[in-house]
Amino acid sequence: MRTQVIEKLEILADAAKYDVSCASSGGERENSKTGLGNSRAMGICHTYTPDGRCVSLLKVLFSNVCIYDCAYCTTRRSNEEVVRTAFTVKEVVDLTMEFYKRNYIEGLFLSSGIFRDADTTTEKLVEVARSLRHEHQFNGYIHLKVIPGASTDLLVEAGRLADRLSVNIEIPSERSLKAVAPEKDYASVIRPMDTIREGHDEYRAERKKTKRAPRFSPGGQSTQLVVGATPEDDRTVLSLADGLYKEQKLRRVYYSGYVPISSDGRVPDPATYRQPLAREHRLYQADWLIRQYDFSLDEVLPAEQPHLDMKLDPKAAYALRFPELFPIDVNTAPMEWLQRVPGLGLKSARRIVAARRRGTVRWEHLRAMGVVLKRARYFITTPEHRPHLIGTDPGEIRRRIVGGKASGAPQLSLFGAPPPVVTPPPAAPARGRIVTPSGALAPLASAPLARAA
Amino acid sequence: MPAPEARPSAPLQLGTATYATDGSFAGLLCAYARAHRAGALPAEVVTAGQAAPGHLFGAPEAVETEAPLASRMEHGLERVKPGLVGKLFRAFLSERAGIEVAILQMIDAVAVDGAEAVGDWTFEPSRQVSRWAQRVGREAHRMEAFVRFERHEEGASGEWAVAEKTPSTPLAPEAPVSAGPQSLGPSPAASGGERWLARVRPEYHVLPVIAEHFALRYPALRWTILDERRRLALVHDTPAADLAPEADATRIVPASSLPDLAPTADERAYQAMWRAYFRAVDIPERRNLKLHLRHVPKRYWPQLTEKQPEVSMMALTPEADVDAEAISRTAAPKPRRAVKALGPRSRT
Repeated sequence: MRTQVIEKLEILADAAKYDVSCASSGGERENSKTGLGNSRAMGICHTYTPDGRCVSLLKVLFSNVCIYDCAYCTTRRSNEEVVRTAFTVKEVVDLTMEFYKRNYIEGLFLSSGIFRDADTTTEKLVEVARSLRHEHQFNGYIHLKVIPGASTDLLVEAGRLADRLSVNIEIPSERSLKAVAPEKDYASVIRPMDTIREGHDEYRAERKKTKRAPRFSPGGQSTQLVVGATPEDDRTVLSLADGLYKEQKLRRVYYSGYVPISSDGRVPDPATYRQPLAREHRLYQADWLIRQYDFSLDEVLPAEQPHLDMKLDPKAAYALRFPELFPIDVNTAPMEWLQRVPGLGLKSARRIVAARRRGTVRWEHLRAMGVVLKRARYFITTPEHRPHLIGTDPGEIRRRIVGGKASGAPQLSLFGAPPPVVTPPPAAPARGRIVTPSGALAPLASAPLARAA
Repeated sequence: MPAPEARPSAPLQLGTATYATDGSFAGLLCAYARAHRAGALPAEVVTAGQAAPGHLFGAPEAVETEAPLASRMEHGLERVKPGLVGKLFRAFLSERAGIEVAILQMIDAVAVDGAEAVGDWTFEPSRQVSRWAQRVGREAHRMEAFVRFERHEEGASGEWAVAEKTPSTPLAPEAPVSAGPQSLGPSPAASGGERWLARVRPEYHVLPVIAEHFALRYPALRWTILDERRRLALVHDTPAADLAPEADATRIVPASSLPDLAPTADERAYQAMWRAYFRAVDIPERRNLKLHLRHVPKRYWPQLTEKQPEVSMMALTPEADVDAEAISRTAAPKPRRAVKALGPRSRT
């Protein structure tokens, strides 16, 4: 009997793994004295897959029987290679409880194929959450996937029980969605998103009045966009995400590089398809700049530019598009500007601000503060350090940042000629200007000083 | 701060004295009070009775730990900068040579300059304290993630263990789920013999840091986290069944005081299911072992259930005669280095 559960687990976890949402954060849920578990604002990754993704939740489908036929999905109706199966409510509850007690997981992420209709499917997911919360006093994290088309009543009950709800958009344009998922459209996804947003807003408002307001998806909602299955460019993907953050107040948009599942004809052929891993990474970086660093979409990726620079992180790319804004003085620049320097993060920017209240921040302090000098050196000044390249030659800076440890050959060969032998620069320019103990400037001091900020 | 009326205007200089405390954090706080009276910081702080032979400076001066004084200082420090005591404490738990003096310098800088000294990374002791506090904090966070509990029975030969051996088969559809709410509450039956045991080998002494996290998460379970490197155990009991009303439910005890434990019959099955899950969620096309190793360094693998080799499927049938010893052999991390006996330095 147990072997049977193990087999179900293998099949239904395998089918759920392409949903990359992993967060177990976003809402505090306190435990009772006799209950099991809690949720912390900071999530915990309990292990990582061999491809480096975080595993914090038991992420499974309730059932992989599905009436839909979406080309990008492994459990699509027409895929005959898949063994169809389903858990019972009790099995999912027991797995969650036993895994949680062993500290394997932060909670449950439950999704499902649509096995009869939206309501029947959603009802099963809600039943699992209800049993965990009410019968088993489970206070760990629960993320439920909402099935487009489910009734509002069920959505509301799901919101009361879960820490986060999500509806996946999957395909970043409606035209492509129609092409690969004939049964779906944007309206059926946006409608439940609206319901969740309203429920969540109401809960937030009530919570201001009384701490005992019934919860509604305290961790908000998220969605996922699959990249690489359809031809949308980065600008389209990011502007969709930007709109979702603004209009639907989503907590997260996940970008899932499409993994070829079969040759369907509607999606890329596995034989020639290449995993868009770099693209996925750059999208997350750009997303991060928009969500955490107050960049606007246009600053990250101008309208006339459809694709992110795959060789350069988006913050460095931004700085090189606006060379006239740099370099900035770490001892006087406001926090918002420090955050915009490539190689400086929120933490190191905070550390600089804390340190300069008591004295001057010098070049030698920066590395200890966690600044990535390899990139930051071209964009900042300290009393000892004046970068001389910025403003004069962004192309040269790009070449140096991108070149890094690797020879830089791939970029150079783009020009058709064999890569010239790159001789190392005559003493690293920035380092050359550190004040020597005697106070004299090191040799390169005579190089032209860039305009101070 | 110890003497607000005599707030120093200039930082204390390092002197040549060696202080001997009782090895506790409270003792270290009292050492600052003493240094403040003496007008100079000590060059070294050692634990009484554990002084390394032949240290450079004169005979250690004994510092007495006064709990009220230490607690007044903690209050003062927290008032200046909330979270500071936790940070100093985590740095202290790094057990690094010289960290005690850096902590005293940091306390002194806070006494002179206020909260701003804390985040100032141009000040060496502040940087050192921050760095070690961060490392200990990271190790603690990793323990919160990588601790793996196994269901055990206490006193495997007692009558309780026999009763518990009846397979509960909670996953078989025809059998009722026995791991229901009744096993969670502090009912005398459930808390009589069941104990959740995890073995860890953290780089730093993080048990005091992680205690609260696990106490909040598993208040109704009886669990033990055994630090095999330091031979210390973090033990949590459910109040009703095990404890006198005033006793601490969560506490740190020497490993030698732990009762005998044996894994329960269903433990192996759940471990196999977790490994099956871990295999199923892998996407081989995206494999990136370098990234994987950065997140899960190899030194944690011995304690991770998902990194253990699969055991025979025979054990998965409830009827199988479970060899408890074999399970504990499979599950127990294999020490790669000899256990370094540090002795139970009281850090709480």
